[in-house]
Amino acid sequence: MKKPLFYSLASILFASFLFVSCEKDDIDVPEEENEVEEFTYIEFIFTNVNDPSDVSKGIWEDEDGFGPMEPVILQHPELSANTTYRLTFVFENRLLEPVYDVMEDILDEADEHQMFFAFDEDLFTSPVGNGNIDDRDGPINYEDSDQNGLPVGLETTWTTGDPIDDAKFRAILGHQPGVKTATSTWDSGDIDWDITFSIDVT
Amino acid sequence: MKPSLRFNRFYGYMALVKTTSIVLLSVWGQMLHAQTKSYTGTIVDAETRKPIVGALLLAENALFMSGMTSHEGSYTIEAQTNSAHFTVSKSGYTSRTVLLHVDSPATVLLQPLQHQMDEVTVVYKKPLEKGIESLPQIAIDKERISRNSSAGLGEMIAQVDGVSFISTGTNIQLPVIHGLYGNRILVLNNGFRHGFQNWGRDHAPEIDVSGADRIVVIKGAAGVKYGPDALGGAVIIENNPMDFNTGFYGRATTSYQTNGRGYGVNAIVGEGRENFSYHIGANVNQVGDRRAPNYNLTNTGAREYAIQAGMRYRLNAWDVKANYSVVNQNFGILRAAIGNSGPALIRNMEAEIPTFIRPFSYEINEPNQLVNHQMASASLSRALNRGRLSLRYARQWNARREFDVRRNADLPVLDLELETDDLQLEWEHKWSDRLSGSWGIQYVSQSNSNNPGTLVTPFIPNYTSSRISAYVMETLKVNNDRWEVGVRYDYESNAVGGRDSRQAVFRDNFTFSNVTAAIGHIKSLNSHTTLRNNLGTGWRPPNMAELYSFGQHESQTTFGLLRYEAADNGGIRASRVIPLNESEVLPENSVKYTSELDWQKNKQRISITGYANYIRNFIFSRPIGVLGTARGPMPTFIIDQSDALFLGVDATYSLMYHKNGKALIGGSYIWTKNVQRDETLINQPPIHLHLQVNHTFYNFSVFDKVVVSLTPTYTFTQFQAPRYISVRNLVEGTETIDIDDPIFDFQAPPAGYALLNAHVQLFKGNFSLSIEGRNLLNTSYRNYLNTMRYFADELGINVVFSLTYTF
Repeated sequence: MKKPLFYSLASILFASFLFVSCEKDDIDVPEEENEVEEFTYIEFIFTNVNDPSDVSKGIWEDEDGFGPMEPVILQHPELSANTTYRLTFVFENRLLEPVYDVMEDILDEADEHQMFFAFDEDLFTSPVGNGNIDDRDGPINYEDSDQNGLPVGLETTWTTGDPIDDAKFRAILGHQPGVKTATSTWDSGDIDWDITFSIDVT
Repeated sequence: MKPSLRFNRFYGYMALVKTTSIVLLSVWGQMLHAQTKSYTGTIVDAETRKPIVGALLLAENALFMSGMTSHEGSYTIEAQTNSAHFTVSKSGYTSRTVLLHVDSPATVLLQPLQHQMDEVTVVYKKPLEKGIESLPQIAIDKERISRNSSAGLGEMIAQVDGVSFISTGTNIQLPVIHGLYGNRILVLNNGFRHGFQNWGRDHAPEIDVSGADRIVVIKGAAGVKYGPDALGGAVIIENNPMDFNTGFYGRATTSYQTNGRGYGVNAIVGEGRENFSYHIGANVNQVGDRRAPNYNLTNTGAREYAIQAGMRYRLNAWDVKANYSVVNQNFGILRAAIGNSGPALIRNMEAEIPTFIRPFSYEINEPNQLVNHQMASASLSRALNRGRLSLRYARQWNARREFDVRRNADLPVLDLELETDDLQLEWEHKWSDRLSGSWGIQYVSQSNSNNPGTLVTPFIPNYTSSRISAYVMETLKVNNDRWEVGVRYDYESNAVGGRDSRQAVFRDNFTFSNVTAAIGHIKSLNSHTTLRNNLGTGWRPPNMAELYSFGQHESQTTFGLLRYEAADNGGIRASRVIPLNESEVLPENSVKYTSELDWQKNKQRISITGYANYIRNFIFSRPIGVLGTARGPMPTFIIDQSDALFLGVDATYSLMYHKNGKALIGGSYIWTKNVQRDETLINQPPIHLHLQVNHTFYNFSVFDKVVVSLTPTYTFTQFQAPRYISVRNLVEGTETIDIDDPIFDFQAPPAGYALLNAHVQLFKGNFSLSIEGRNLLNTSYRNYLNTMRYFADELGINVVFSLTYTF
């Protein structure tokens, strides 16, 4: 009585082990995810408003995204003295194939984003001052606006002053869903990225 | 003091005290009218139907109506009334109250008590898990569990010396036993390993403890019986035993807590018939934002509901049980802990008060965790001539979705489904009166899958992990000694498939196997001293998160063992997913020795547990600095392996200063070291002391019984904590860290703190009202073992009221 029961139960156990263990080799991998939140390549494009062929770029890259490699600056912008530039951007996630254009996401959510800037006081004659990171009211020449009429900063204008070496130029893309107002500051919400270039004006 | 029955004493005291007070007069009155009528009948064991000799019958309101059963289990009691309520008790059985009628013979069934209990102590101990009785074990009873039905498992068992919890805020608590937590501590629910996302410090077992009959904590290496997950100990949640012949019973509790304005309702009903028994229970809880003494802890609310049901059927020697349970949780995580950029993080960590505080709300926003856990189990067992054969099967479904503060906040950042199948065959046997044991085979298979649509590279891969195990345990009694030996073999095979951050597929297949052994010795040195010694090995393969974590989750970035390599510049590289066979990753191997001395004499009791645990290839997470991303520098952790040593002692002294009062002082100390790198370990419990005075008043005012206890505790600062380097210094580059540099933390350990807790419980008939006050002095403090200590204080004063009706 005892033994047949034991053996039948044991064989059920063993059979189910074999059954399950046969299945395991063809495991499904997770589906591909489009990492829309990741910026791995950013260009700051300064274009001379009077001469569209006069372009200078600042280029930043973080090759492995959230990986441990430090981001690097591939190129610093070089500007001419006493010249007005339009600043535009390229935002990409180059981890994905094909490369993912993050700019489209930002444009879709323009009402949740704003660029903030800080710079050495002698760098520009317009805007004056040192930007709107330490003081939200510091002037910036925003040339665009979101559906609420608030500035976004994906397009701005800058007029350089006299020649200067190694002047700091910092930009922060603030992500402020539900928080963005005419007075919200760079740290009101979260930060998508925070990059500093050093600019030579000649 | 001889261990006796909690319920015996309880009813015994009630009956005695009642009879010696106001009721005395009426007894005398009844005496005068005494006639020669009598109550007759027999008392039998509800399970075996054998007569019980020496059972005591005590009339509730009449001192002189009492009797004891004869050798045939029969009783005859001279009657003073035509009917009366009698408390029937016998050591080893659950006491019950029955209504007896004169001249109507009754057969009273007494349910055998499976385990003996030491009364009065709130947390009492009794060895019970067979085959591992040489390990220190402590149980928490139903009454203690029902006091605060919204408390998590961690908080519940942290009253035991040597046990604490490591947490992420108030809602997420993982048990810590002797410095070990996570999947080194087995959480056994209803006989099965709880199958959940058991990794990280922010995933706690999703178990509704409000319906638990008892929680047993095993403070030692219980790996032979339970497998690799019990390397550091086990927490065993015992649900309703579904005894037979209990009649219809039930309990309903409603509770309110001041901190978080939480409320909850839970109820169970059940019935034990002759051969059939069932129970069904439900628990619903909602808590809003908790409050530290000086501010709201925004987004720390919780919502939870749970249902459990079971039935049991007996046919001759066969015993069949089936259980089903579902737990649904939505846990908020402190909003102020989230800083998506370096500057935001510095701001959050340096802030005196959290940077994100809103008025009180029940609302739960991101970051939060939604979990649904279901378990269906069945067991079939057959009593044999000299033993029992059991076959048990369970299937668990665990769906976890976690939400972060981010661009697509409505999409989960983690969306995982884990299915667990668990099959166990156990043969318990008794070779002779001296030699008994159990042999078993276990098979566990887990399959994890990432649901698509998170817009984030999966933090852990898909995998299937199967383990087959066999064990043999035997216990030999020789005079006053008892020897336990056990051996176990485990074979585990894993298949992994994931994606790296470029969305390229990676796959791996690997296996682990190990032999675990333990030997234990229990010696009764004399009638009041018992010595328990146990030496056991354990092992644990690394879990999937320890191997494959990659990237940011909540406010930290983590790299798993197979995701980074040391780089030439002293930093780390994470350019590839390393196949396990090419890596240096090894399973943890441990040897733990525990020794427990238990001395009880007259009104005093001393219990001391000492232990030494050496773990080779101990896997732990440690800060490696701040690493750059577009958002700025983020605190970064790596999973590392090293050899570690844990030494500690837990001690308790208790004194029955009065027949209804007990005072207890207890403490625990643990010393840990990473012996390979000759440095301290991070996140280890600091020294903890507690004092408890517990007094019971019988027939106090209108109440049958009033229990009052006062528990001051003191927790020291963790003076073994690693040095600290502030995030600011790391971000600003004034300090830099290489992978080989000594371990550090982002903040200094918090200061030591004293807390005062108190509890009053009033009993009246079927009702009991419990009022529990925690942190009554409203002390502001931070807990070293809470990840939220970087950002906010712990809870301020909290008073929990709960009203229970039992029938």
